[in-house]
Amino acid sequence: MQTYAQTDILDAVRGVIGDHRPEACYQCMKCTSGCPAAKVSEYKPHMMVILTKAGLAEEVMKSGIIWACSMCLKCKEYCPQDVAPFDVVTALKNVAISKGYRPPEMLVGMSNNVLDYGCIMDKPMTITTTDFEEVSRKSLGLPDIVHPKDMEQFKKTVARFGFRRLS
Amino acid sequence: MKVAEEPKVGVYVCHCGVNIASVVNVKAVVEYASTLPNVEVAKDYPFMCSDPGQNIVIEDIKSKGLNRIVVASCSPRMHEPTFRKALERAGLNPYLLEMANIREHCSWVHEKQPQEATEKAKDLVAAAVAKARMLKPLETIKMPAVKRALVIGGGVAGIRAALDIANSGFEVYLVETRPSIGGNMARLDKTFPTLDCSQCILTPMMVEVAQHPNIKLLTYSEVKSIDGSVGNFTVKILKKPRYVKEDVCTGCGVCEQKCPYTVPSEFNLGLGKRKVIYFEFPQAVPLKPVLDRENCVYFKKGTCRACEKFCPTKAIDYTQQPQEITVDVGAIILATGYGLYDVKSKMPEYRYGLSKNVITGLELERLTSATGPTKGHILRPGDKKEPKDVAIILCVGSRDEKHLDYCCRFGCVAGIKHAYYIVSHIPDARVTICYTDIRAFGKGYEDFYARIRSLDNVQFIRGRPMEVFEDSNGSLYFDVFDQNTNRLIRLNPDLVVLETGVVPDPSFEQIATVLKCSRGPDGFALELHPKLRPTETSVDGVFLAGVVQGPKDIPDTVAQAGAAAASAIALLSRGEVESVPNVASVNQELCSGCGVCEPICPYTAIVLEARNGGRVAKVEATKCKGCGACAAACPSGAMTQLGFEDKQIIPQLEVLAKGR
Repeated sequence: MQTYAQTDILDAVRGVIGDHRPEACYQCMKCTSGCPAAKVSEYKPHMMVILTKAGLAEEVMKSGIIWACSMCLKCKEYCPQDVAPFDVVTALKNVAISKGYRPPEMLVGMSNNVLDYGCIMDKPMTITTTDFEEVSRKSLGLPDIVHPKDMEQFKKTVARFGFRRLS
Repeated sequence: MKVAEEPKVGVYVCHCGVNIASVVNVKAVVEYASTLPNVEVAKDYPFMCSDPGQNIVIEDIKSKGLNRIVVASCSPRMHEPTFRKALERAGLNPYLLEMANIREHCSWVHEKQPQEATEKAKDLVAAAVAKARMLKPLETIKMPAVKRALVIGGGVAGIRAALDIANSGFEVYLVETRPSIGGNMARLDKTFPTLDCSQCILTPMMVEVAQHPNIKLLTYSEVKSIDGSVGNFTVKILKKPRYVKEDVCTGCGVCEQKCPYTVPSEFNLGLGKRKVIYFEFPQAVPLKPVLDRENCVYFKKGTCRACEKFCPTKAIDYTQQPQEITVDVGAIILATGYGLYDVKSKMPEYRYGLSKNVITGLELERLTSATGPTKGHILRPGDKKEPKDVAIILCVGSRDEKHLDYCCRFGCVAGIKHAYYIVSHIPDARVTICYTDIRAFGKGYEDFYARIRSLDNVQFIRGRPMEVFEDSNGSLYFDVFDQNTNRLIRLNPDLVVLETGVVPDPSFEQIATVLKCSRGPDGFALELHPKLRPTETSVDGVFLAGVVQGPKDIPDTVAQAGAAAASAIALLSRGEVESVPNVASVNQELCSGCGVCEPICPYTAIVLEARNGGRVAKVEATKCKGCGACAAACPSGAMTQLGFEDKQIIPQLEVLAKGR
């Protein structure tokens, strides 16, 4: 039999997210109804919030689902209780890293690319169209992505924010 | 009621059960109080406000000759009147009482610091004793009350209140801004949970209002200003011209038939048309048409006059002017009702106002009503076809920190009723209700919910959609996560009904401002006590009925209207109002006539009158609320506030500032 228990994770989440507190959630499911990632994930946004409140956030972090959030911020914009599942998920990502959980390899690569090149990809990005065709940004009239001019300074700056290499 | 020269103070410290005594060391406070100057006796008791508690005070006044009383207990807002009456019963002037609030100001806020709370209680008692020593006897102000009432708003709340007052023998003015009384209830098709026809139960009351000898009905009229205070309000009402002589018109309706021009109908929320000279609805009270000057071709271009030509009784009068009516009343009931939250501009995600087939619940009422634009056939506005798949979304704008943080209290059961409208009018239609929590709390509501829940073609989804979309064919669709089945559901409704949040009627803002009536953060009128005095306001003689105080359904609205009427009747039948004499008073010998006080007074209680070639301030005690602003501003010390004179509050402040 499982029991609900207060854990340090809820405190850690509260510490990160400030005013958008999970305890205000009354489970209207508005976030899940409009979440583009909810269709593919087992843990829906409203469940992540209520599990965190119930002290079961470890389960959410273990599932790896927190990394599927596409950060569109719709839940934050429309949540009637200012809970913002996005903020809860972001806080859980931070807690997960500090507890030694490893994000998916693709995100590790992107994160390390930022430290190395100042951008999530080392090469100029191509764009995949809805027909799965790879085209250049230029052919769509989009500006090039600019890499930092002074890479050393950039590295110093991000280090100040606590942005560390994942190994 | 003679007061001896030397003050003899009695101090009574209340335990308030454990509310005070569990934090403050009451015995220590009593011990300390007995050492204070002029204190004859200091005692404590578990409940000073109880009969035995009051009797201790009364006995001591009689046996020990006490002439000043300090009670250290709760807020004076709770029990100051109780102890004043106790003093009176003991033969002492009731205003020789001072209270020290050692509950709200001490034990409740310093629950975790009993030591410091006890020291603070001692300070508060010492300050109260310092002031009590300087108190002077005052006389309660009494004045006659006008035995007539004003009811603002002619919805079901105003109608019920006006009838109750009129039936008890008092004259009532009932003022309504729209051309007919009836309010929002007149727009409804049926009322939950019993599904009575709304107009069938409302119109008999409306007719009774029109025929009642004690009710003066002023429709198409606005309250412009309210002066004075409890028992003696002077109200100015602006009666807008109908351009129809009400005493000549028989209500035959020929003018409406003959008028060649139409505009969107306000009563039907823009869903249908009305003529330019029109009745709001067939059962309108009074049954007199209104000519809408803004849209009348005669007023714009000088031609037409069809209504005048065909009127059989020659009742049309294009020369009518707005009329200002002044009435004196003793009591006022506010029943201004509600409007719907502006979801069109505030919540575009639900596409109300963008897609024609997204409507509000109130609009569905008009589409269902036999007097509505579709004559009682539910046809969707987009193409006038019967909807076969209807989605009803609850809590639109309500319970939402970004919009209205309160519950509208009737949306759930209204939504369930709307599902009933659809399936009873269109048997092969399907209805989906997207709810968050069904709050079916009223008498008979749960039964009604169970009845609709058991229908095969009504589906309940526990989830709230985020957005409603319209595809390129104009079809509506949205996704909603259903917690009950743990599935994300795609709906393709051909009609979406939004049960929108409720806000105070816009007219209430101006009335609240002229009355200086307190409003809550949600804009609704603030009652004097949320449980025990729900119909009274911070302004004496002004009472609340219906949604003006907060969202409520029809049964609660009518019940509150009856309660408000009873309060008004009690005031009118006393025929006299008493007020606490803590009012400003001018020493005209000292007054220099500088006039600083006059504009500062928020209640227009101060006038400057001519005297000896100059001018001096004069206070109208019945208007003064005792705020003290004038006394603080007066540069010559001529203005004092009785009960809060400088020589009374300075010793009190000295004790607090200097410490012990």
